[in-house]
Amino acid sequence: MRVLIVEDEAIIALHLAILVAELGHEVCATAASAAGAIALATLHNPHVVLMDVRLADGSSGIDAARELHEQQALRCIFLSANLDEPTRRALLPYEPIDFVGKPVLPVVLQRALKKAEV
Amino acid sequence: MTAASTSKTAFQRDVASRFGLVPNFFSSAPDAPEIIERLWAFAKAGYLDNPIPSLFKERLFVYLSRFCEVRYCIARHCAFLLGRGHSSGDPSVVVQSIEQAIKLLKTPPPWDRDHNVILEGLEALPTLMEWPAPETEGEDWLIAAATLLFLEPRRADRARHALRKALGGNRFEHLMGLLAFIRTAHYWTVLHPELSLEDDVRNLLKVNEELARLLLEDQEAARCDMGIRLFQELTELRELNERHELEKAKRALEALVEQKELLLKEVNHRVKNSLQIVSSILQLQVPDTQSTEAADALRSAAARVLAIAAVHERLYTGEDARVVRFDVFLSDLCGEIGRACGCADGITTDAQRVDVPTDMAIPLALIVNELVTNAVKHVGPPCEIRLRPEVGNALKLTISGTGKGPLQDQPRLGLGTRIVDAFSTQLDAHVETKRVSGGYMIELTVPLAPTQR
Repeated sequence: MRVLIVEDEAIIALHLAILVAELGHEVCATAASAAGAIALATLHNPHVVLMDVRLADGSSGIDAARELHEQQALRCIFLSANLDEPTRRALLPYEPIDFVGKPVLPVVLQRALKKAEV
Repeated sequence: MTAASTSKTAFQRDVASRFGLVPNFFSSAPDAPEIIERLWAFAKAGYLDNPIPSLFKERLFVYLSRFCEVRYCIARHCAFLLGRGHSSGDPSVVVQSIEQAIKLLKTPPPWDRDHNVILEGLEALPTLMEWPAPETEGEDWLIAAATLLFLEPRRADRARHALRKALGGNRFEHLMGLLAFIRTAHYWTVLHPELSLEDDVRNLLKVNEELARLLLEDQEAARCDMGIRLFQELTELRELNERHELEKAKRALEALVEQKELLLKEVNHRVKNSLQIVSSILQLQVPDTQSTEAADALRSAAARVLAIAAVHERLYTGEDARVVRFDVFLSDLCGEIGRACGCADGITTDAQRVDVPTDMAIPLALIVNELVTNAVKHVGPPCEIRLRPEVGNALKLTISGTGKGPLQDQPRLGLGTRIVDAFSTQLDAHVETKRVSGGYMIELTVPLAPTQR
């Protein structure tokens, strides 16, 4: 699968890219903001998006997910250090594939990516 | 008894000729009978000889006497109304029935009704009003407006103007004369608490229980004293104010709690993110390392950080922030160890629900990380991990398998043993390692302190 990683913390993004590659997928691009995510998704047409909920420039992964879902029917695996109930509820309309809490356990990420393949 | 009470004076004969009897009111102040005689002159001017119809005067007297704390006037004038003596000193007045009196006494005071409608009604009359018959709307309006004016003359400008407009100046002033006398009579009874009810009134109350209750237990009785009503309103205002203050304090407290929750969430978010970065840095460094020994050490360090991180991932996700669902955590951690060791299918977990106090969770996670990693890496897969709650508030973790590798740490991996020893001491936990037929078994028993630590 082609995976778009949206994560504003550079080290985490780098680590996620290696993990995704190790798990046998292709990282087509890495974005740090909602605007970047939308631009890169249009350019690379990924299968799935690994989306951090809090992004750079104070932008929100929720807004990015909405646009990606509405415009390109893309679905996300959401990453966050705060996946509380209100956040999960807010994300439900965009058909989340899975939620992965931070810090990310590689095995949990692997499970989420397997769900995306089905 | 003085001679005066047995043989009537000219004054008493005069009083009796009007009322048909001598009310105790006019026998009060025996030390200065001349005062009572002057009061009698006022009674005639304001009440008895006042050209307002007698029945209207008497009914108004009764109604306004509701608002006097001394019950003499209301009882006496009610008795007049019911034929014990003459209403307004007029023997031609038709005697009212008990039912009529009760209905009058039960008429709600104007402040319990929409008195604006009443005043509007009076203000809107096209022509001057005649004195109304009893139990008509006109009488009801006049009594209500007069009540407002009677009790709080300084705050009843509108009632005063409405009455003057409806009745015209002449009738209005007659009404004022009557109000002034009723007020005086009330005040006199307050100043003479020794005034007692006459026998005819007592008998009347004895045989009419409902009337007696209405007369003697009237909730409005204290209203005669204007100050009391004002005081009551001020108290109500003050209570309203207190409620506002309380509401304000409650809102401030709620805002504070919300702020604290936000802060906790933010700190929690940052801790998790920071742990993610530390773990990422360690993992990222592995491919850059030339020696396998250094790479192994980095992986172990990364795994330990990840074990801590995995606990943090579970923190504050449940409803109770004081405990962590250790069973959920265990499945994830063991899955991760299996993945990292390249034998994901070699580890099975069988965990029943165990809640662990938050401050025990990280030491426990590190012990489990060492024990399971050691079992998978050195004793060899497959292995099964079971978690069970134990009686007496404890948990038991069992790692068992068929691996034949060495059960004890190799000397160069000594840190793992030291971590298990150190944290076992800290948690008062007990680790037992033994060979069993066909394999091995490691048992970890941990007492769980009460959750209210």
